[in-house]
Amino acid sequence: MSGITLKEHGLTFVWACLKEYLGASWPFALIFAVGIAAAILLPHIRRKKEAELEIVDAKEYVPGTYEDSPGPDASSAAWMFLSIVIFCALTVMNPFLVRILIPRLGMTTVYYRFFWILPITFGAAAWLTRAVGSLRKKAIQAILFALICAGLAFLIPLNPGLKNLRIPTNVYKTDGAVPVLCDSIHKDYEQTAAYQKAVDKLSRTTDRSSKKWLKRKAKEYPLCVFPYGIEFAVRQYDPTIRLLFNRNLRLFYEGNTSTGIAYNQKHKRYMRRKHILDAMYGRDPELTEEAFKKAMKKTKTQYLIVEEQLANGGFLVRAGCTQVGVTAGYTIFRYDQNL
Amino acid sequence: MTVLLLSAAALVVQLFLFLCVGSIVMKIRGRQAYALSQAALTGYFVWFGLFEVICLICEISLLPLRTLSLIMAAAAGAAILLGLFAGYRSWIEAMNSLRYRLSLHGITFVFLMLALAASVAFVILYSDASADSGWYVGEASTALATNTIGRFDPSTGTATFRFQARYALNCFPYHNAVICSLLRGLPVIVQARSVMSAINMIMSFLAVYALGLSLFPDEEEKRAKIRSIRNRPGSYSRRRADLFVMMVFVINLLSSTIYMPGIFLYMRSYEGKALIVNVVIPAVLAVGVRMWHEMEEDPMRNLFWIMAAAVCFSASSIMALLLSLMIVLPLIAVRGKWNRLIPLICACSPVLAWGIVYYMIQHGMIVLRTWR
Repeated sequence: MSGITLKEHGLTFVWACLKEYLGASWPFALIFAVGIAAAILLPHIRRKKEAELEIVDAKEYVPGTYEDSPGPDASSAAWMFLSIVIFCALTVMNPFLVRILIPRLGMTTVYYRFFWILPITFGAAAWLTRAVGSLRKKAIQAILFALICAGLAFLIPLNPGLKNLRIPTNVYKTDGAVPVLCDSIHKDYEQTAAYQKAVDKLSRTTDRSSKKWLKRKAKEYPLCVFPYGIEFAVRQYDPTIRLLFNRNLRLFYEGNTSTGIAYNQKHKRYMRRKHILDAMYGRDPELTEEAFKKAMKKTKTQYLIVEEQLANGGFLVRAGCTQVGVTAGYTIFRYDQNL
Repeated sequence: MTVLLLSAAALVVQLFLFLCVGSIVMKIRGRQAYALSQAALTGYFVWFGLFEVICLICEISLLPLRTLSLIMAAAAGAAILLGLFAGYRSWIEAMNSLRYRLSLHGITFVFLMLALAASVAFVILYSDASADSGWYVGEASTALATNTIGRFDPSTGTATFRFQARYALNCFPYHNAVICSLLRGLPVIVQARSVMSAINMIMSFLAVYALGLSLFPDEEEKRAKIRSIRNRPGSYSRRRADLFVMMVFVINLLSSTIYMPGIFLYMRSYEGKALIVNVVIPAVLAVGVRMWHEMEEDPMRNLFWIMAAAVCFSASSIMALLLSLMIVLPLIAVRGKWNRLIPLICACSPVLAWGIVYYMIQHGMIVLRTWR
């Protein structure tokens, strides 16, 4: 989980992760715990009262009301929830075991998934349902339900997804620039010698299960660098565009360390890519044209797409890029690998 | 317009397919009267369990996606024909008794349907350009564009020479590629992020509803001293389950951190791990509660298919395995039902098998190459 490491937290790692997992939604965990306690304890308290004999008029007798019922009650579900909590506490949420187990499983950054096993959402919902359902009158049930919803909404912030809803402008639900940019790049790339060469080579490879075919198939598509805002949407819409940055490299460059992977100057693969992005946005004044060209050659990058107002156009053109066009607020640069 | 029509067709066909598969399962189990929603949920698990096996074989054999699509088309065609044959009487019966069964629900059912409609509309409209969506949707779009299964890196498009155990063994994304390969003209991005998201949302509601029915069985009402004479058999359970689904809906709306199930349900419903937390886990809990209530007729068979589908969805299927063990082992120990141990191992076998293969790949005991 972001910012929480075993090294830093040690034995408090699980507790720190649980707090991060629940955030402001902690009342659900409280309801879950209180519900379990109540469902287990209440039947015991009630049974003592019921021990006294009652005299019932035969006319008022309703079959099944006074017999010992073998049917299930709330306590069996509560016992099940409790057994899950105890098992978790002893195993995957045991602070001592977690220190050894989680790094070995490589799950430090995705430890939150173990909290899915704790049925907090479903348990809390079950106890709230029981509370509302225990009332006799429907109108009072409705009022209590509304009060619970209002109370929870007052205490807990809304799901961030609901706040981020934006009505999409196209059926693909992507930035409208993505289809336009992809089309422009293909149109330009298909006129280049690199494309003709790649297609020609691929047509000569008939064995689709060979390594050669895999390599040549990939080279049929242009290798590009897109702005961060649309980078991850590109290959969802158009998989015939290759991207220079993989997920982890790009996230790290943009300052996101949630993957748990870090790169430094020793990682040549990362540094070359960093040089390219630094040049695109003019982020490193010490970057030379030679270093940029070297990075472009080594990575075999063919297209750079930059926001029109942020593009470090002068540097890119001087370093050998050709401006292909300005489309949908983005500038497309082509780098000829034969230079 | 064509894309919208194809999307609607994909939605209807897939839901109908799940219903047909579920009806075949019900017929095999000798059940005549069942709810169509229950059959659809069962069919959803069985279909993805079968898909996982077939897709994995095709993937490792380096067969093209088109071949997998043709196999799945044949399987779907056969399932629909058999489902129609096996289930039409039950469907007619279910439709004839629809008014009666609706009368067993309260007014909460109307709100539940509104909540479902709003949730489906939300995931259809919600757009997400996160790194994870790039990976999972990219996996399907790359498969379709290159006519291969898992042989290219979805985030970059470069060739990979070894299958990655973390992703290659869970074939859910390729199902979207198969659907788009069969329904030509339907873009993967639409199928994955709109059509499948809507189906997943419906299945999540059905799984939570099934959990509600398990948590509030009709038998429970017999314990109550005061009962409403208006309540008919099945009414108590349904009314409580409706309310339970509404409560889960409210809690999901108030999931305030990016780790909670509600976030995965509304923002990442196209991802396999969202299905683990919002469909598989409630389904496992439903089976577990019925086992604790000693009401489940065939818990291990249900658990087996849930596990098989979980493997298809995501590597997080390990959570479903852990949860199953945490539910069933104490039950076995406390009630002394040791004869349930072997069926439990059999039910968990899909995840156990996946775990063994995953471990072997990660430790270099097996090398799965993407080329020959």
